[in-house]
Order: sequence, then structure tokens, then C-alpha cells
Amino acid sequence: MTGQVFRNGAGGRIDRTVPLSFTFDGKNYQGFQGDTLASALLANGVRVVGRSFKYHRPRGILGAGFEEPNALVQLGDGARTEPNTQATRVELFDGLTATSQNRWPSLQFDISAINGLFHRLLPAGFYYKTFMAPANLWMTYEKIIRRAAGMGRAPTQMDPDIYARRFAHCNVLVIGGGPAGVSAALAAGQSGARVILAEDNPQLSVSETELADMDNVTVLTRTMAAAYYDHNTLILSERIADHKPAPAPFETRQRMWKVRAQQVVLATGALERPLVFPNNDRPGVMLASAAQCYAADFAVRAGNQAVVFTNNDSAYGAARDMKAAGIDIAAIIDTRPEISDSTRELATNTKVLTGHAIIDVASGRGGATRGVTLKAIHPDTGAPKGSPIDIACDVVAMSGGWNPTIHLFSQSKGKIKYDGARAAFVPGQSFQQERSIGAANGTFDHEACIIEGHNAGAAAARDVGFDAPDARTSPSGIPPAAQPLWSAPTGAKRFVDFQNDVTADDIGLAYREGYQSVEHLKRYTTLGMGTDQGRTSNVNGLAIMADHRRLDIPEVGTTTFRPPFSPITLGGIAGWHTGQNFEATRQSAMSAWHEAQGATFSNAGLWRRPEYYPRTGMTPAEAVHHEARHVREKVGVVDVSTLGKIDVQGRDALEFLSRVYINNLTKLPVGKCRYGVMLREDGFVFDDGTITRLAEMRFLVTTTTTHAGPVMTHLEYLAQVQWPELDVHLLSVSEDWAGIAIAGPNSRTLLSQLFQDVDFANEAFPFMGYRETNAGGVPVRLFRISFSGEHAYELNVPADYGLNFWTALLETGADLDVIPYGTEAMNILRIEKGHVTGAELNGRVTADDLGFAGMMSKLKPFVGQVLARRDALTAKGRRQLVGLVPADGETPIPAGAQILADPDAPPPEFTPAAILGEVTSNCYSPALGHPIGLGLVEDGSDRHGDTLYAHSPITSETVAITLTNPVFVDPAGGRLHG
Amino acid sequence: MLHIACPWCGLRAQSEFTYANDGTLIRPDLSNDSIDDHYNYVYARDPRRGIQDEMWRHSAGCGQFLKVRRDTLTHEIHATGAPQDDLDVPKDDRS
Amino acid sequence: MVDLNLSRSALDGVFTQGAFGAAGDPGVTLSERRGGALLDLSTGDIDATRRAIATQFGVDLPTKSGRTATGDACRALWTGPGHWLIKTAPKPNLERAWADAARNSAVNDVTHGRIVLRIKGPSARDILAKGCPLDLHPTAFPTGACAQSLIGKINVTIDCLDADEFDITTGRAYAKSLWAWMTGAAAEYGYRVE
Ligand SMILES: [Zn+2]
Repeated sequence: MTGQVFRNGAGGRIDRTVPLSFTFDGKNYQGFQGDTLASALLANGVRVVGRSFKYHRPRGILGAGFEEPNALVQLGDGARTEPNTQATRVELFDGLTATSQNRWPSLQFDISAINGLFHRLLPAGFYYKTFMAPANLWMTYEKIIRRAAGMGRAPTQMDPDIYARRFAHCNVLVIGGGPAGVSAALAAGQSGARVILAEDNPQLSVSETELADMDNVTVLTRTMAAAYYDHNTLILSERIADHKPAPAPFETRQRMWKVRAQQVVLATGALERPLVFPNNDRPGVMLASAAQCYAADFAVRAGNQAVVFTNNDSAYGAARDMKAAGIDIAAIIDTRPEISDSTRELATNTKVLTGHAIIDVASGRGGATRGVTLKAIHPDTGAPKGSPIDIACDVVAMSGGWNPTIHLFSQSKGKIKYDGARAAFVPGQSFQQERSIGAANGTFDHEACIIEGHNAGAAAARDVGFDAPDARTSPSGIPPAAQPLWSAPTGAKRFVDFQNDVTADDIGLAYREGYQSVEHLKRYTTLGMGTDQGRTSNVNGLAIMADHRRLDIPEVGTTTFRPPFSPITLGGIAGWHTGQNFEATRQSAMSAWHEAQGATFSNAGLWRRPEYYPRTGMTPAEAVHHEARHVREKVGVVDVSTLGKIDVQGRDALEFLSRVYINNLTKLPVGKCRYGVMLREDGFVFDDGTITRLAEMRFLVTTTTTHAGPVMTHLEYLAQVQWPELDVHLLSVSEDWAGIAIAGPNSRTLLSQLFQDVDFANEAFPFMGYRETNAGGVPVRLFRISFSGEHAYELNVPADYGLNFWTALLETGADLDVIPYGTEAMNILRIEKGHVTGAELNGRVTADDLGFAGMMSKLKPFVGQVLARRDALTAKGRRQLVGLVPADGETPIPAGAQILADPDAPPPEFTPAAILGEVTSNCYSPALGHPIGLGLVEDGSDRHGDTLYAHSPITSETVAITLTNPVFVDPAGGRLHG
Repeated sequence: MLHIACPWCGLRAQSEFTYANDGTLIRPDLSNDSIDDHYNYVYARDPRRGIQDEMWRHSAGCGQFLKVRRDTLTHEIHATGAPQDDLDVPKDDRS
Repeated sequence: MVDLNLSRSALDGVFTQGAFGAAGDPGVTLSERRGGALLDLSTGDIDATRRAIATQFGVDLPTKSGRTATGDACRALWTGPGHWLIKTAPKPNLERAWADAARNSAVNDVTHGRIVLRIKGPSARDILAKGCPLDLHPTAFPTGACAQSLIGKINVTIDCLDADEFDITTGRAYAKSLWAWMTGAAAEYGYRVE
């Protein structure tokens, strides 16, 4: 067979003037503009499109849309390849390549199909039981099963496409562009409400020019409603360029809409159910609605000769359309003993066998359907009786009734109810501002759908204050279409869930083994757990279980549907929050300068900070040590713009700060700074920084870089929620001021040269002093504070001038041998000085642990004061800050090591009680010429001089260490104050 | 995916807000140095399966803290107000 | 010697004039607004502060979220209860002048702590809607409205100057990230940088 031999010369919604070439499993085929991959494959006579998940039975196309469980293909290759796409929803384009994915080594010859012969080895509950078995057994099975399952391959290259997100708001959101949805959108649109109508297909099912002309209505086609979340938030996935070989330059491939709708109208239609009978999975057995759709919309004959097998009236219409497209209808087999005259009229000139059922499907070459065997069935039990009848056919078009598509309704927390007359779950009580209409609501009559849509659209608009058109009266007395459930009571391999290979016998096994509730049934058999979420299988599965348990279906239970309705791409979820947009970064006014110098960067919160500046002829470690040594000997400048800065103003600013810092601040005069410590309410240290009194009622407080946000939130919470009576105004000014620390013996000389009108003499500008000046018209804030332990200053200038001052310091200080230094050297300098940072402020230390007990004012209440008095926070045996040096004076102290008394004790990970403390910071000290560290050790203050052991569970090193005063350099503070 | 009515800014997306704390907490008076009272303030919580009052912050909006009466089971928000508001009193009657 | 008083843009190094993105008429023009001054004004005494500011600077500070007011030489955006962002012309001792006028208020000159990007053109609302959860429909966010919200993951203040013209204010340190976001979001519509 070559060419589109199953395509009719006329009819359908395809454009025959635009032929398209595509490949499937490497073979070339032709289709037309408007085809889906599935319709094009059927037009070319391709019947087998995949292998089943567990038994690797050949499978053909079952449906024509969302319901498709079998025809999952891998699209494209390279970076744009995409697994698990439903061929029934893939729009054909020229050059499309697709491969069947659940097969090995090929579709025609599948070694794994041997599973089918030994299927008893893989019964229902197999996965469940192997999970219960020793875990390592599952590891063995898993490899084999995954290889055989072959659910497509994820791409291994970077996705070259652009994905976007889009927020939208509307008064009325209508999901589904069928007759009901379009009618609803029209009625809502006529009221003037802002309406969005979303339809998954490339076009609405009815052309509606009035809708297109309304400015207040947005029609989104190729858009699937994936999720219905709280507060009427819906996620729509719009495929902008999936129907093209590749997006145009700068074009977005998919757009994820996050819609906040005041009212939602769900017109999501209904999906046909398969019938459950032996070998109902043969390629060529498909849903009657699918065969009808291919015939009517695509002018494709699903085969040459069809048997229609049904338990309801809808398949008669399908038979008529199939016949009109040229398919020979060999017979309509109806399980019902009798049908109405009007139904029979639909099948004039067609053989109808009522009270019969298919008891087997014969397969020919490649497994495709070759014919069926029928028997009469007992009207009550459904048991086959009498002699078999064979009918040759290559298509079986089956209809087991219709399931309203209630997935979004269920996601919205609406209550689902079982409708016995329709033999289906239908929407019950809504939970959100939502209405279900049309087939999604169990209304299958076309005219009734349009009226229901109109009324729902108008009512939705009216509910949000629009003057909507009047309700129309529904023609009364349209009975719900009777749709009994039916499944063959016996026979081999009656598939219920095609995607997960769950048979009626598997459900029987689950029943016998006691997994009878719907949740147990689902997990035991994997019924409904595929990517199709059991769209074609749930109701049949429940019906079979209900039959075993002699209960009504609703007594067995229902399934709760979860988002997404149908799989969406990870790219779409990420949007373009990838790469540099993955998260925002914060950069100081000097960032570009650091980059230009080749500095390496590390992250502190969202900030990027320079670690060190590379120097020719030096290793990174040497360059860092050079920077640190240089600061102690001469002078260095470091970018400290990232420190949190909070402007605190108001009549009660001092009172407020007194309540949040442990320090006594009442004596802090204007023009002075103080080192301050803040506790959390639970009594542990929160953060440290400086408090500067800028004016009588104005302070500037600084925080550590990473705590800037949390501290601000903490202060705002206290100011707004707990102490609203205080007149205090807090504003983060971290980004307003570029911050530069100038540290080292030459710092005073350097600043004197740059700010000649400031008296830097000790008496005029002492340690912890604050001065404001002006340089070249720029306001400058100068703080005499030190993190390094050297004679040092920090200067703040408005950020747009930051780089000027940075370069001016370097130029002016050239004679003084000034260099820039980074966070690595800064860290060494502060460890040498015994200053704590995030490593020590780990949320578990008290002020006393760090030696700050003396700072805690006894004259005033402050946050954390009371709980800091708790026994556990004051007891002996707490870990206290100490300095660490290697006992041999040279071995580096391992980072993060545990501190032990006995080097030969069992590994501390097994004996936590043996751990006396931990190494919090460690470095090589260029000033001392040997490694040093800081640590928190039980009663450490009393152990100075003791030798303990630092053991790293990671490197298994154990290093003897001597405990010391944490201040290694200048303990008397002469450098600071000099 | 909540939609929270900031008492000042109106209905806004959840992404603009940050959960802050239990909404019923009153910090012990500054003069109160009872460890038990502070302990209860810091640690004692009565999380509900159902309706509870929470404190949120309109962190990417006006920066104000707000009380949110939320059903933890259904995610419904029944009332919002300023931190000092009594949510049991209808909004119009709050002084 | 370095000119200490040379004001540098936070976008130095990434801001390049020209046409970018999809071909054809640009959907928007992007630019940085420089040369203005920004003040943050916060008070616990709203009535007195409004009276004082109206007298001194001729602007009626708005009292409702989303409102702006334009005065003789300044524009005030509501940013919180008793809290405003003032856009005005730079002047020596600007902060002091406002603080003196608005007693019992806190005033901060935040000109350097923020950057202001302007987006103007027929696609402006579409581009903002890619990252901003606000309802930006002209009926919900008309000319003269303002709001604080998010663009992507960045806090912003959006000031609607005209039907298709907005000023976006954010923290200075986020300038390059917001610029990357805006230019990336605008690429599919085509954009000019001026
Ligand atoms: Zn707000």
C-alpha cells in the first residue's frame, strides 16, 4: 500500500491544496494541511502505532483527541524532541518526524511481546507486590520494566525555544469551543463582560463571526485548560508554534496563561467510553466517535469494512457518517435486546443485530483486526449463548456510552455525582464560581447544549454585574440519552485501561485480593494512572468492580482528578524563568568594575559579591592571602554595599531600637555608632550590625547581607502589628548607598587626602565615630568602624556615585599602595579578629555563647530577653565561641569538623554525645603564618589552652587543636583605636 | 494561587504576599517577664483544620501586615483586615 | 582625578540603543528615566502631612491605593497608608526641604536607590502581563493609576502615564535583572531602546 489510500477525494476540513510530507518510524508519508498526525497515519493505512505498556501487544489509534491512550509518539529529534505526545492532538506540518515509542526493537517485531505469552508473570498488583517485597528486588525488576516500558525519551539538549507566561483577568472564562461553549461566550460577550474563550483545537467547532468581532472577547485556540486551582485561578496552555516545524525568530513556542476569572463556564464536552470485550485492543478497534471524526472532519476511512459495536444510540450516527465516507458497515451489533424505531431508522439498509455482542476479535498480519466473532447474549446476565457468527472487518467502531469531561470541575473541588440514567459521573454541587454546561454537564442534545450555553454565559455575566441577555427556555422533555453500561462477563484479555494494560480480569483479581475501594483498586492495578488519567477506563473499571461487589457504582467511589488535565511541557511551566531569568540578581554600583578585574563571585542571598581579584603569578589562595596581608600592612578597600541598611526615623525611633537591640542605646549621641546585637523572640541571636545616630530622631542600622530581608520583616512586624502606638518609620536604604570599607594602617592617610575638610585625628573622629561631609558636591557618610580589626572606615555615598569613589580611592591611594580586596580576604581578616558572621550566627547561639553577655542591658526590656533566661540557654555546658589553632602549628583545620575529646573514639556520627563542638570557620592566617579557626565548644571559655580533636566525617581527617581566645590579632584593640 | 484582599490595595495575587505568623498573637507586655507567657507567645500554636486567623504581609505591594481568616481545608478566605482589626466585626462597623 | 559628581546609571554596560527582537514596527520603546529625584515620604499623621505638602508643594497626596496625584513640580504615588513615593526635580537639600515641610514624617531621598524604566508602545500592557499578576486591562489600570506588584520575581512600582506608557520603578541593584527581563519579554513584539 502506498499513498493516502484511505483518504476520500472530497469532504472534511482539510486543505488538499497544501500537501505535507512527514515521517513515521523513518518512513515517508503524505498528509494535508488540517490533518492530525493520527488522521494522516490512518489515511496512509498505518494501523499499528505502538506497543502496549505491559504486554507489548500491538496497538492502533483508539480515539481522535484527548482520550487517546495508545498512539503516544516521540516527536522530532535533537533538542526539540518531545515524548508522549498524543498523535490525535498533533497537528501535521511539513517535515514532521514522529517515532512510535513503546516498542523494542521495532513495531513489527517486538521481543517484549513475549510478555504477552507469559502474562501471568505480570499480573495486576505486580508493582504493588514488588514494592512490598525487599526493596532491592524492586531495583532488579525496575530496570527490566523500564527498558520494556519505553515511555519515550526526554531530550538531552538545551531546549532552543522560548516559553512565556501570561497573566490574564476576565469576568467570564469559558473552557471549550463547542456549541455550548461558543453559545456561552457569545451571551457573556453581548453583556459587555470581559470574556476569554479557550479551545484546544485549532479552531472553534462552530464558526462564529459575531464572537470574533467583539473587542471584549478573547478567543484562544490551540489552548488547553490544564488546571483549575483555588479562587478561580486557571492555567491554560497555549500552543503557539507547535504546528510549525520551528517557531519564527523570537516567537514564543508555548504560552502558559494564568487566568483569574470571576466566573468560569466549563463546556469541556464528553468523551466516549470503550466497550470491554475480549481482544478489544486489536489495532482497528476504535471508538465510534473517533471513526466518525476521521470520516467527517478528515475524509479518512478508518478501514474498508466496519462492524459497529454499541450499547447506545450515539454509534448509529457514527455509522451513518462512516457509511457516507464510503466505509462498508458490515453490521451494527447492539447489546440491547431492543432499540427504538427512530434509532433503527438511522441504520436503514444496514444490518443491525440487537441482543448480540462481540466475543472475540481476530487478528491478521501485524496484529491488526481481521474480523469479529459474535454471539447472542442473555438479556439479563450478558452471558454469550448460541452459536458463534463470524464477520470479516478491519474496523470495529465501539461505543460504550459517554463520560462528561468533568476533570476541571473535579479539580475545582466541585462535587461529582453519579447519574444512573446517563450511566456517568456528572457535575454536582459547584464549589467555586463555576457552571458546567453541555455535554460536560451530561446534556447531549445539540439544541439543548446551545440553550444551556446561552443561559450559563448570560447568568455568569449577570452574577458579576453585567446586563446580560435573557435566559432562553429549553425545549422541555428531552430525556437524557440512555446509556447502559456493558462489559463482556468473561473471555480473555478484555482491556479496560489501554494505556496501562489493565484488564477486566485484573480488576477481578484486585477484588478477590481485597483491594476493593477505588483508591486501592487504582494503586493495585494501576487503573487510570497513565498520562491519560484513565479518561477511557475509569467508569468501566468502577462498573466492573461494582459488579463484583454487588454495589452501585457511586458506592464503590469516584476518582478525584488532579492537574494537569493532560500533560503539559516542563518548558511551559518554567516559562522563561530559566538561565539569567531563573532568579533576579542584585548588583552593587561597583559590580561591573569587579567583573572587569576578573574577580570571581559568590552569592550572598541574591547579591553577587567579588571573592578575590586574581593576580598574575599567584594561585587563587595566594592572591587571597596577599589581599589579607596587605590590609594588615598597608590599606585595602572592599565593596560592602550589600550590607543591609535601614533608615529608622520617628519620635519613638530610639524607644523602638531599644526594644529590639540588646544594647543600651540611651547614651548613644548623634554622630556616634555602636555595635549592636538583636535577638529573636526565642532568645537566640538573630543578627548583628551597627547602629548610627544620624540625628536626634533618626538612626541608620546595618544588618548582615543575608539577614537584611528577615530583619526588616521582623522590625516591620513589631512596628505594625505589636507596637502600632510607636511613631517609627522604617525604610530599607540598602540600595541607595554604595558602601566601601577602607581598612589598614594607611586608611586614615588615604581618607585625609580624599576628604580634606574632615579632621581624621583620633580626638575629632574617634573609633565608632560618624561624620557627614561633601566631596565634589556629593554627600558622603563616614563611619569609623572595623570588621577586619584594623584601623578602618566605611564610607557610604549615593549609589550612582559609588564607582567614582571606588576608583578615586584606588587612584588617590596609589602612593599608599592601596588594593581592592574581596570577601575571601575579608573573611580571613574577621576570623583573625574573632568577629562572628553567619557561620557562627547559626540560629542556635545565645549572646552569652558569643561573649556578648556584657552587652545585654539589664536596664530595659528587649526582644528575646525573657526567653534568653531559660535554663537551657543559660545552663553550663553550652557551646561557646573559641579560637582554634592546630596543635602542631601547621595542619589545616578541616572545615565543618566535629570537635572531640578523644581522637580514638568511634566516629562521632555514631556517638553524638561524644561531640563537644564544631568548627564554624577556618582559614590560613597570613598575619600569624599558620591555620586558625573559630569554633563553638562546650564550656569553651573555660577551656582555653586545652587540646581537643577536630574530626571531619567527610574527609576522615582528625587534627589535634588547641583552644584559644577567639581574638587572634590585636586582642587589646590598639589598631582599632589608634 | 490564592487571591487575597489586602485591606488597602484590594484583591491581589498570592505571589505578592508572604505568610508571616499566627494572626491571633499578642506579644506579652514589655513589663511582663514571665517565661511561660513568652514561651506561649513564641511556641504555642493552635493550627486548625478549618478556619483560622493568620497574619500575612503584602510584601510585594504596600508592605502592610494584614489579618487573613482562611480555611486551611478549602483555602477559602472569609475575611481580611488590618492587624488590629477584629474580623468578627463586619468591616463597615470597624472603628 | 575622577569626577566624583558624575552620576552613573545602574544599566551602564547593558544599555544599548537600537532596534531589537522581532522585525517590523516595534511593539514598545524602552528607556531609562534619569535626572529626576525620588523621595520616600512616610507619616503617622496623614491629615497634617497632606495639608502641609499641599501648601508647600501644591500636590494633594492621594489617600487610596492605586492613586497618583500631580502637583506643580511633582507627582505623588500612593505606596502604603501614610506612605508615598514622590517624583520631582532634583534640588540641593531636597530631602531637608520636604522633611521641614512635613513635620512628624520621615523623608528619604531614594533617587539613588531606585531606577525607573519607561515602557511605551502598543505592546506595553502585553509585555508587562507576562510577568505582572495585576489586572492591567485599561479599565482596571487606567492612565493615572499606580500599583506596587511584581514583574517576574522583582518588586516594582508601576505608574501608568498614558494608555500605553508606563514608568516602572525598582531597586537599583535589580536594574540589570529587570532590564534583562523587560528586553527578553519584549523581544517577541520587537522593541527599540532609546
Ligand atoms: Zn496592600
